Amino acid sequence: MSFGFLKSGKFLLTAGLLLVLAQGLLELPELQDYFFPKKYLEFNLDLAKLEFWKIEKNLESLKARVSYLQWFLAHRSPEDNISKDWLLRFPFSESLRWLSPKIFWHLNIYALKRTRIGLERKLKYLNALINDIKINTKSKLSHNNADYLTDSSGVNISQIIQNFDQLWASYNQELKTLTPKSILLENLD
Amino acid sequence: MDPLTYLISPALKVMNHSLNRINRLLSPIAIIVAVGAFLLLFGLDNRPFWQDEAETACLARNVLKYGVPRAYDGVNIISQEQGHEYDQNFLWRWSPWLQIYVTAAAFRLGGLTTYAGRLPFALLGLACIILVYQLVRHNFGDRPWALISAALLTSSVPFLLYARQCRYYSLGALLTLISLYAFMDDWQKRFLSALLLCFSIVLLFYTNYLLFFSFVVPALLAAFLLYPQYFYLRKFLLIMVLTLCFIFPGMLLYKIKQQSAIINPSVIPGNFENYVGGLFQYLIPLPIALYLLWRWRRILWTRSALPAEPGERFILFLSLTIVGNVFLLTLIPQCEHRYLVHLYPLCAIILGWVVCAAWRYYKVSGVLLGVLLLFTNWLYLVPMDWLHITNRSVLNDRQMLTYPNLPLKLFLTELGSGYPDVTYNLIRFFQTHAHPGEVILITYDDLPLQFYTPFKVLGGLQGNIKLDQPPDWMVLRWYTRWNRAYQLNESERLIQEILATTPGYAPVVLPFEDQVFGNNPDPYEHRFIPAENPLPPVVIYKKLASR
Repeated sequence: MSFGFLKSGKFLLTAGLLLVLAQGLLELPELQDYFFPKKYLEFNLDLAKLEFWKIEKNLESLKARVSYLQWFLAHRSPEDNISKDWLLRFPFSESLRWLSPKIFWHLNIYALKRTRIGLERKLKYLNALINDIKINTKSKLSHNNADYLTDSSGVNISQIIQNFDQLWASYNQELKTLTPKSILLENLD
Repeated sequence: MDPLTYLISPALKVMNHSLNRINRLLSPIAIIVAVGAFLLLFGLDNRPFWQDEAETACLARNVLKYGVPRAYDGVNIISQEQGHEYDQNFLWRWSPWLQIYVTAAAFRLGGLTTYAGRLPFALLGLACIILVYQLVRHNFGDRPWALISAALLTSSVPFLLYARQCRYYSLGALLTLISLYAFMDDWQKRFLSALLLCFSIVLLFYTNYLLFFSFVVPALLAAFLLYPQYFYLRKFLLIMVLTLCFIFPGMLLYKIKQQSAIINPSVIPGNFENYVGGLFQYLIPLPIALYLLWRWRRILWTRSALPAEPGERFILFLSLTIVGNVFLLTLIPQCEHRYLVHLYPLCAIILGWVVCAAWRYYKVSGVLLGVLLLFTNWLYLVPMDWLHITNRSVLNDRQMLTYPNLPLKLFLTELGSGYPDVTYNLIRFFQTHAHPGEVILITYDDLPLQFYTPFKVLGGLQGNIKLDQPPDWMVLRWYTRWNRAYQLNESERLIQEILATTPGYAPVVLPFEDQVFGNNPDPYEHRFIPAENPLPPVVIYKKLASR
């Protein structure tokens, strides 16, 4: 092993560890609040955005699965061929339907329940997170801290929170609409 | 002999003895054990048992009464699986009995207290720290490696949290270590080591059979690969037959066949993701795992690349065991971090070895790595944050182990300042407000109430709740709970139904947050410091006509 490699290896290892050390230090709540007072708020805003994105995907999936199972109930004769549309949407389930309708049904009902309850949970958690963001922003703004009016990209934080509230209400409503349809199918299991 | 020497030497001998004693007391391992003892034993009863601990405690109390773990004591039923855990005689047949009997023995000696219930397991956690040191020192003669490994385990806050529970976690970890100690201690030639190996494995089964299956199978395969010279066929077969004979009655008793029927293939990918995430987030930092993978990359295609140095070979053996363990655990439907606790000491040994290797390579990096691993969780979380693969719930806040922190500081803050535990507040409320003979229906934390109060407590995760009349008290917790089949729990459904149909209940809003769990040790869930913005308060419904 050459001396140069050893030297650069030592340098890289130490630099990597120092980088982790520095990043960790800056993320300690006490230091983070001192040096980057808005960072935690922005982190939570990003987290909420990510959760909304996940909820949207799961709602789409729930809606599609409900339609798929309703379609299955309407066309469940054994001579039905594989549906091209559903094969693209649910490749595993559609292949399984042709091989074993019983296992197909159980697995899909399980997935349906899991998605529905996962969505209920996520919406409840997200509501708590949005309330948390609201309380934090309100308390900071009450101390005349103008930094909290906008996020780092210049968008008004109150506007973001308002959008979150609207989005949450619409997703919650959508879930409420889908729940009875889903339960109807689940009860057939 | 010179008369002067003759006069002085006895005094020198006495001084030497005293100095030796002081040296022993101040030896690094003695200091580590003393720190470990403080961290494990101080304020052990600061917070009451939470639901899972209370299950063990209630069963142990019934052992003192009936001699066997019964799920029914004439007033309350212990169940978290809709009544599937017991037979028609209420005999507990869901999980092994060893932890229940250990707790019962502690209750017999120390009374029915939180401290007595947790003490034996905390002491077993301390024994894990000592055994990690002894395992490395005895087999490889490397004192710094042994010391660093013991120190790393002592400073592992998730391990401390689990070891301070009235549950099997530290017992499982200790038995895992004993089996490794016996295996490395020439078990094929020494009768006592062979006996120790056999009994540690059998007791691991009676501690938790998931740990038994998930640890023994990969450990055996890894041992075949790396230590084929340790297998004398006759002795190996003898130990295997003996072990099977001892565990056979347990396999019949603990409804293993019935529980294996709930294996669900659709949860395997999710479980795999969670266990691997948990492994990197709390046990072995991702950069170190990648380094080891790179170091042993050639093993995949050539056996001659297997490390010859005994220490490194043992590290590879432990790593393969851990990987196999995680793979097997993914098959089990209930994915919980608790099933990895017996791997914490093994990971401490691996990390100790890596720190020593870094020190030998370049002292500055060795010190940096040691500091990062001993006092922070940054090497675990910061690289995972860079890759956006950190696993944390939306409800987590910054003062938890899911965020970059100084874990020991958080842990000591909780020990020093206490925590407004939701279970404690519920117990206190009912101890001061409920009257003898009253019935409480609650959606979670029914078992702590059963242990700490004299009332009839229904609900939680029990199924088939039978009510002769509307309960005197009802608690609908903020966090909604569903059962394994994703059906709303019976207690949730029942309370919602009673509130909708029966008039005469008044809500009492308590001035404390309705936290999801009490003293849950899970590093994804455990709170050391109250949340900056708490969840909604607990609401208790009181039947107005009850008094």
